[in-house]
Amino acid sequence: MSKKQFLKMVILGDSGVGKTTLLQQYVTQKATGNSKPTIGADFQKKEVMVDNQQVNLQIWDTAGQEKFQSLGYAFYRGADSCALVFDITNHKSFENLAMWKKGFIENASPGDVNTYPFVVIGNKLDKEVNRQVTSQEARQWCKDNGDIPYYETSALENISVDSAFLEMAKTALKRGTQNALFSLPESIGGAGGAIKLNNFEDRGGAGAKGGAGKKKKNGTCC
Amino acid sequence: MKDKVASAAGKYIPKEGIKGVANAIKNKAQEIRAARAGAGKEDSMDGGSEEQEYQEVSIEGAQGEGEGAGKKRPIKQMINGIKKKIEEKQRLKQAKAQAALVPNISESFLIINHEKEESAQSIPPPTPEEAVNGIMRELLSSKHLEAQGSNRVRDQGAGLLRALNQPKVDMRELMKQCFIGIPDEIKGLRPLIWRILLKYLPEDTAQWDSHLKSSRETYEEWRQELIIKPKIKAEEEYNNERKKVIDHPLSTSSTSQWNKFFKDQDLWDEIEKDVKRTRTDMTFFYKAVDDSQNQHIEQLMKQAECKKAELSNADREKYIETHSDVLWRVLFIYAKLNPGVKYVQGMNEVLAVLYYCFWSFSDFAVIPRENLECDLFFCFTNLMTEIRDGFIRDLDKEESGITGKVAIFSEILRIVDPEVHKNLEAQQVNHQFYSLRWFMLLMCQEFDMSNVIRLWDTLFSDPDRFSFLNFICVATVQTQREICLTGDFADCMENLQRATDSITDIRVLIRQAKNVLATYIKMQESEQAWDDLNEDIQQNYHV
Repeated sequence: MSKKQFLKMVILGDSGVGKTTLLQQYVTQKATGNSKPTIGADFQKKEVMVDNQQVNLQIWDTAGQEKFQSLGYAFYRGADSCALVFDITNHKSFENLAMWKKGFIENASPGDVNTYPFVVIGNKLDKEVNRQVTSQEARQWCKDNGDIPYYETSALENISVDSAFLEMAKTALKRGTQNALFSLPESIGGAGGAIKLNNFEDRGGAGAKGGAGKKKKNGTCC
Repeated sequence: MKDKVASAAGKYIPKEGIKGVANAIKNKAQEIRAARAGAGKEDSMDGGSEEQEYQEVSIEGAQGEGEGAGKKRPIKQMINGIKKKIEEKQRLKQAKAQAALVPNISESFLIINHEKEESAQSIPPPTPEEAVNGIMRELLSSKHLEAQGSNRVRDQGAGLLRALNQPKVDMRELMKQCFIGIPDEIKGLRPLIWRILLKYLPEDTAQWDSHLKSSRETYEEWRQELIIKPKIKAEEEYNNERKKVIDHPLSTSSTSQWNKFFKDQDLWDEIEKDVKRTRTDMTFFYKAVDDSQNQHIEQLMKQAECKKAELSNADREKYIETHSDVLWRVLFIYAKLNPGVKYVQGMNEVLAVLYYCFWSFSDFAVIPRENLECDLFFCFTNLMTEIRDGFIRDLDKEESGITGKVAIFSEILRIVDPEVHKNLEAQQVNHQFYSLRWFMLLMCQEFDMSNVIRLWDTLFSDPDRFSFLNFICVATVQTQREICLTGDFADCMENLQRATDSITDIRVLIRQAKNVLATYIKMQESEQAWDDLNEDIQQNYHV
């Protein structure tokens, strides 16, 4: 009786830091490096083995521009892990990590913030010559923010992309076990898949949020 | 279908079945009494759900009981009251449905259902001598139409030219003919028609020439004020500054000095980042506007690969203007003139379609090239006026904003394909997750350029813009119907997000969307029929 694990992950960060390319590289092992700006959010799934356990990842790639943030909240909800991405050749995108983290915490209600599985990714290692953010600076920030693991990647040249996502999955699984994670069969789990007791409501709310879920039932019930 | 019937019935017939109607009518009578008692009070029908409405009325009924009771009225009067009430309710319901969904549906349907026909006897287009203005004279003089081997294209082209060559453009005929696709073969036709459909060129054809001229002047003024002058100033400042720092040992460290002096640098950067990744499936936007410059491939490659600010001084001096620079400029001016909207990602995609159409289908003898950027700006502005609410964050939750648009689509999907709708809801697939981009960008990010242009012929010819898009979206969902019926959240999401990948010929999708619309109208009619039936039952049961 093998049980499937579901993990929901979100990727956040400024526009143009390479979120879409990271995900593209991770899921399809191909990256063109000229992906269009993401409108709203994009969704990908991937099956991986983590510590001999089969895990289904549902990864949300979000838009970087401010306009899409209020819509993004629907995507944040119930995320088991969150990648904060910046571009090592763009200092501003690094400075904005704090804002992204804060926005995530406020909207995803992730329970204990200190143990929440964040991962910080400094992308565009292939553009080392234009680097504006040193590894040291980035590591220090991660340390100050509760020892967040830090990865430097090149989504374009597939450097450390797999390990960054694997780290996310691992820590999320670990934390999930600590938080009494109930593993439900796919048919019951539905969208939520694995449902944690402590944020059950959050998951339920996600579906109804966009208005569509609230639509009148037209008198089918009393 | 059963669901549909049950839900339609549920509105007027209580759960207990027909027998319950008597009770319902008693309640109605109470309502009327109450309404009479509290004369002047208006039922707040719109806004709340039907259940709420009902409850509100009942409470009023209870309060008004004292005054209303005791007075006996003839039964006929009472029935009239019920009738009135039902009529009122239906009127409100219809008004609501019309406002929210597809007004002028029958009118739209005529236009939408028009098919290309090959008439036995072709009517020739107007002659150049009959032209109503200079633009039409050029268009009618061009040989593109005569060169057409296909009768169909010739007839449609002639029909379009006739609709255009009037003192006042025959909009109905124009839309009817354009809904099925403007023929590519007649150069200059599509860019002209899009200018009209987007309400840039007025229907009054006598005004066209002067309108183009005055618009050009206005745009040139803005361009001077917002770009040219600030740029000259920035360059001067930069040069002065450079003279000062030139001996400084560390002066070479910064590559973005030049841009630092550029006013609105953040906005320029923000737009540039996206313009650079617009339509990367085409080489067009990296190419030089001036075709003779396209031989400098190396320079153009450099320009495409990095930001303007990152170019070396030598490369910056050799800078060749590309098509993407035009996009950049128009988006910048739009953002400056519309501070409430500014620049939002996706606008680049919308603009790129208009630009490509204006550029590659144009006959510059018809509308001069010097008008292109200006006309592009105004057409883009007009189009944005119609779709910008989807781009404004503060309106996200409003009816006109993206949530409202998606809610209407979801309702149509529910009516047309309840099974798919049901599973998606059960799997908590928020319709916004996959359709947001479709509605924001009129699906322009979903297909290659030629398909998008063909799709926009249709969307722009929708008399009730952009209602037909809803049906296109439903048809798109239905391309993934199998998965959507049984799949879980991840399956549905993944397939819906990539639903358009499998569509190679947009005409097939448009045809399918027309079928969806026909189904929708049928369902609406049957809903109406149910309501009528209920009314009959109520009356007959009582009398």
